[in-house]
Amino acid sequence: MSDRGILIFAYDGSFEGFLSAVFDSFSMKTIPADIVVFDDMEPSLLKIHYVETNSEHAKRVEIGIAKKLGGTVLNMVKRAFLFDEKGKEKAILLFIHKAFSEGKATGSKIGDETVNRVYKMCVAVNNEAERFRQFTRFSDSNGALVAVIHPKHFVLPLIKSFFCARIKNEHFMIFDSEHGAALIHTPERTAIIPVENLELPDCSEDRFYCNLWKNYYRHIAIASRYNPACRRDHMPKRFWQYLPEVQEELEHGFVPKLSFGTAKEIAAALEKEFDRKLLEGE
Amino acid sequence: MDMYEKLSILAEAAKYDASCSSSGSGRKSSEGTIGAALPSGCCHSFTADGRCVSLLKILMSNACVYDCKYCISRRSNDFPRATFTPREIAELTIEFYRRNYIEGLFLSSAVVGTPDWTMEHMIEALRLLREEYGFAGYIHAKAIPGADPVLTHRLGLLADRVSVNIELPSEKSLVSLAPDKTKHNILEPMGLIKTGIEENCEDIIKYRHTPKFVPAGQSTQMIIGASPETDYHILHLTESLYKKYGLKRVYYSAYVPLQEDALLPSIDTRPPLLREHRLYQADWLLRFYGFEASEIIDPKKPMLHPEVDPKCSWAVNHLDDFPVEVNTADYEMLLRVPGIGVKGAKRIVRARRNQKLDFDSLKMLGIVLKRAKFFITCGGKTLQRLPETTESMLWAITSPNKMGGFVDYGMEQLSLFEPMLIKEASLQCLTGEF
Repeated sequence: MSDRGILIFAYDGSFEGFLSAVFDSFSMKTIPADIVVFDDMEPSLLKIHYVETNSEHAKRVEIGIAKKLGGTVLNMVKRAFLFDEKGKEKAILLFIHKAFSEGKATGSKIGDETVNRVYKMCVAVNNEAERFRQFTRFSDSNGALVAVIHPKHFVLPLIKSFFCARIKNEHFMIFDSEHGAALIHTPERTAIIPVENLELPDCSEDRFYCNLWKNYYRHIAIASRYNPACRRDHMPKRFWQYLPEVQEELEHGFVPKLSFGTAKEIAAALEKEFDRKLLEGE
Repeated sequence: MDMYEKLSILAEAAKYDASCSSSGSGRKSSEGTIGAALPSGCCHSFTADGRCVSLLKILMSNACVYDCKYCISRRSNDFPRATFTPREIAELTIEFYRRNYIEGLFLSSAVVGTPDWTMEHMIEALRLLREEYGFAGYIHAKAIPGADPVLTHRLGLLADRVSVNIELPSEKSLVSLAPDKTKHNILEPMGLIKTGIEENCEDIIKYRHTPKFVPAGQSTQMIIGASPETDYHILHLTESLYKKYGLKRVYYSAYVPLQEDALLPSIDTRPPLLREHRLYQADWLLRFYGFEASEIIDPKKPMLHPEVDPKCSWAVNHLDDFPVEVNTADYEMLLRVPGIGVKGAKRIVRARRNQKLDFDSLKMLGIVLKRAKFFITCGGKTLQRLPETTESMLWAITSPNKMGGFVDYGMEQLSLFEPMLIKEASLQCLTGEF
């Protein structure tokens, strides 16, 4: 490893491209100072090796990991690659090198620094995916369902099966505007495709059930148990933009009218609510 | 009456049911045209009180013929009444479901006319959902005590989880506060569902296409703080419900006073949230940590400690069993260390298979050492000496500033000010996941 540390790998940003970079790292017997995507490369004094995306190389690496290191390591690599922060490629590469020298057990050495880094990336990706299974909301546009999300990590591949199992007979789309990709599903087929810019269909007609849902949400909180900190822990503010039920609160700092204790108070509150709706013509 | 109004009234009336879990069922999407269930469940929203919203929780009707004193829908209460038709329930569920607002439906009802009539209409709503709309999402239904066993069985074939509320922790309280319900009435459907599930498990082995009966099991709920039972009583009752009836969950609901009655706590009583929280912690110990009720609480001190959680309380009273060596202790013992939970214990077991753990690697695994440090050693080393007596241990692990000072351990720090009482509000650390 004569030129260790003075080389930078640049690749195209795809998983296949990354695996090709791993292949090059092994064949050149070098660990690069960094692995970066062409597009966000900064000027550097270091020598740059342009990784050519080669599906054959990529396949060999993938099969090699699966056979020699087992499913746990391969899954960790795949999952960690969805993590979206600078330096992820280098961390995964170091992990793969370690795994090839120490064997199958590497996946469980989560108390080791190199492994732990990748492990934490996987946990972060999994958590983010779970949040978007919970908090993605669709609007109906002429029978098709549309949702826009801004996840930190590229979670579309992880939430795909969840939504496809649930609303398999519908036409739906989840647009990830952060990563420029969309999950598009029709009853016949499903695909994740790159999307640069998207004109979103008009969903303003879909008010009835959305309003019913907001109304429902307002009525199920128990006033004497009011606990905003607990709610924030479970439902962090950055997800509120997707949730129709907390829009008023988010926009106007408006505290939702919690329901009250006695029957009379509830009846009075209900009446007021209806008056308000009449006024607003809902 | 329009949908807004109906939904307001019937959601309002259903919200005192604590259960909202959508877990335990792995219904496949191939079983219908819309919907599926995850074994781990999924919470889609959280209310302003921090409780999760996983299911559309509504009553079918709140026009009750019963007169339970603690209940908002009781007959003698002057309150707007509403009833959903089965079709309305099914449509609302489907429309909410496809927008990913909910995981499914939680359908309960007041007793309208007779228990049988009520059950029949609930069954009709579920049948519509399952058969006509092809809904394979999660359904939790309440069985109505006193209904025909045949109806209970039919309900069980349509729902994922069925529950019968035990309401109050003793028969005596039930007689005085819920005069129309009897212990027999409540336990009978519970027993029916239990045998139903057992038979179904055998049938599924024999015949592949046997329809599933209550695949996510049954649960129950009791109200805490409306009647005088102690935690000791409640925890032993809980344990026997888990053992005798094979329940999946027992829910506790802190009593929220809704009306004046000589038999109930006064109207301005705050709901005993901390007590509810401690009971849930103890419940977790029963279900996931291998504890017995008799280990958690003893009849001489029949209430759970308000300042420390039940596991910690057990540990400080069994200092002889500590410290444990994280590299060698078995999983069951790791679970008993305060500060190490199920996730942490599993991570430790996974990591130590191939490497020796020290305190730094524990931190990397996300183990919080604040409490655990007193009770563990890593490769024979300790981070903090184990205090010798129960009292000094308690002193060491509860941080005085958070708790407002000790009240009755005889070790209270001298203070110029009045000792602060424990404020329930400042201690609200409810988990929210019901």
